[in-house]
Amino acid sequence: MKKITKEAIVQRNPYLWEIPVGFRPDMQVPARIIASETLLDDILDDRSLQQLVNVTTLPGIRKAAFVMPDVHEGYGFPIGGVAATSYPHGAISPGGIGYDINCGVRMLVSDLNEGETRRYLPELIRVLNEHIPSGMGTPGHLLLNDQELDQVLATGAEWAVGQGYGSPRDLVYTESNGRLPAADPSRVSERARQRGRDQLGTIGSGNHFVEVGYVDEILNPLIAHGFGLREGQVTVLIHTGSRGLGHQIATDYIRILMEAMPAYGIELPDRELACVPLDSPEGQAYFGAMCAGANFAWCNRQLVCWEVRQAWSAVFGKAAGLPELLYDVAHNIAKIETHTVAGKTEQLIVHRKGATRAFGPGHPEIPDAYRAFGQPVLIPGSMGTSSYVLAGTASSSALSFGSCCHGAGRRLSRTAAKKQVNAPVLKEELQEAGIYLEAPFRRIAEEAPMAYKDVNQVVRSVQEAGIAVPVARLKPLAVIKG
Amino acid sequence: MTWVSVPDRQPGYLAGKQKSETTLSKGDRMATLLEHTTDVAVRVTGQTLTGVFASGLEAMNQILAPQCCLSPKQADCCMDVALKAPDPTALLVDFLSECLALTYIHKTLFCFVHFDQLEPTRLQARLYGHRFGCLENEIKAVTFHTADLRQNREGVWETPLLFDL
Repeated sequence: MKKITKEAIVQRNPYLWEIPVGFRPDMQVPARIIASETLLDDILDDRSLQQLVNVTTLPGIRKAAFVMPDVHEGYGFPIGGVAATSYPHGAISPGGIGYDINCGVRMLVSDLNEGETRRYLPELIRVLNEHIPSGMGTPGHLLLNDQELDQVLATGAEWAVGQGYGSPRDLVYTESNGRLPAADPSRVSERARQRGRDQLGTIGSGNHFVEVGYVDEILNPLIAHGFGLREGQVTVLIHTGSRGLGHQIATDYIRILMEAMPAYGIELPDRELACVPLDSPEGQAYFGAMCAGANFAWCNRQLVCWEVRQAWSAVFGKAAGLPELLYDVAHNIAKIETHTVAGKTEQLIVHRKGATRAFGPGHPEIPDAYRAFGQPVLIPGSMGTSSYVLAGTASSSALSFGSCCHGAGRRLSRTAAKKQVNAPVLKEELQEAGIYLEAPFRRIAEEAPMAYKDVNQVVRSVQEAGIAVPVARLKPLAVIKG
Repeated sequence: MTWVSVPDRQPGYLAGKQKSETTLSKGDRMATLLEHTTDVAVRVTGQTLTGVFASGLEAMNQILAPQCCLSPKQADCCMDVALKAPDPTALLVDFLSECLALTYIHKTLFCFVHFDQLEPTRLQARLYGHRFGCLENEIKAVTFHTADLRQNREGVWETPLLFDL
């Protein structure tokens, strides 16, 4: 794979960089990087940009392939990648979505203030840990039969709300109302069903978490008021996805699409980019299964949200009120959206892998209460550092297919982090700083703040690039990791 | 069979870490950790096709549940696997993906494998495993990214493998 140096990159403005078509003969469109120069220098350290250039070769790709400032090396697409292909003949690629279909973030806001909550933190984290299954191999509280699983795959978070695990209001504040109607449960393999059957309401392991925090600073009072945020308010972030069910859907279809590609004359530089035209039989089958996996993920986050509320009630009592949903966003997904390319409105297949949808004010898919402000964009930092609430802008649609970053972005491998971090000491230091952690020491080391980029720089980059507006900064109080 | 330790060179509050794991070796095969920002990458090698497939399985198990397969236990169950693929790389990735799915579904770590047949594009194998309570890491998938199983100039089978965590 051709190494990319800074000399190959053209600066279009201080926060937008481009690898022009012609850098490699198979590029169909330019590769664009949204980042400050400092972050770009970090990005050049791994193979993210080689992977981005590979993405520019996808059949039917439009305008440009993008990476966000939190980009890091993945497989197929880099993590933090966005690409749109023409609808309906353009490519659909599982590698542009990731194995954890509809991995995403849900944010809850409570009536409580940071000051009055601190003394409850040890109890809160203990009870949250009791209520929320985490780690690998720990089953959820539900074991679905075939009929129930089909309903979850077809209706997503609606199923959970219908069973009493949330309120209709939760659906209003979930991206796509927690349900993609194109889901086709019959396209999900028995193997995937077996893997997901007992996993609803679980967060899994790796970088997934439940984090209790508070609003440390309001950065845009008007939008913050519109989102119902105020300084000192206690919040909860939930980060998880479609668990084993989604992982198996991706595994199944990458294999199927790899074998189908020659029939469509498709050759690609990385097998993990395996793709077919969306309107092909294989493309339709994958899209139906992927949407079902996305629905499973929304149902999963709804169940975890219910578990958080159960724990909340147990610790603070019923009088305290339950935390309400601010928003739920996907960051590993492909959706059919309308955007403007070269002055013309087009339907596109937008792949986001480690990137968040960030629609600007007025977009019809934004809940009524937020429509004037732009879609909430949730950016978790690493444990121990800030997280952010942003709002999408009109220019995000024009620049990056209505997409933004999804987190801080890893900068150190897990191995390197484990080599460098003394987890017991870090846990103690965080506790002295008022942050309670519930996680195995190995996970604390892997997920240490130093393993991630500076989330402040990432947010600054998307702000300066004009694709999102910072609304509020959050600080963590207690974190559960699987 | 064990991961070989290397010394740590980090100062300050990062000090106190004395070792990390980089290489897993056994008989005619070996797995070496490679640098990857997000996931876990390894290079697996074997003198034979059987060796490199076994090495891949051992490396995957070592990521899922370090040390768990290092002290042999009585197998609780065995499962048969039969696969065909267009090339040796796809066969290896398919084999590991199959083992991974069976591991999660049956909550069983398959520490031992016997190949009744192993050719570059087809295999029949029996997996022997024991049930686990909880795994240390969740591997989402075995990916094709950079995987390219082939014999090097010395005749050793080798390929990088990337496990999505």
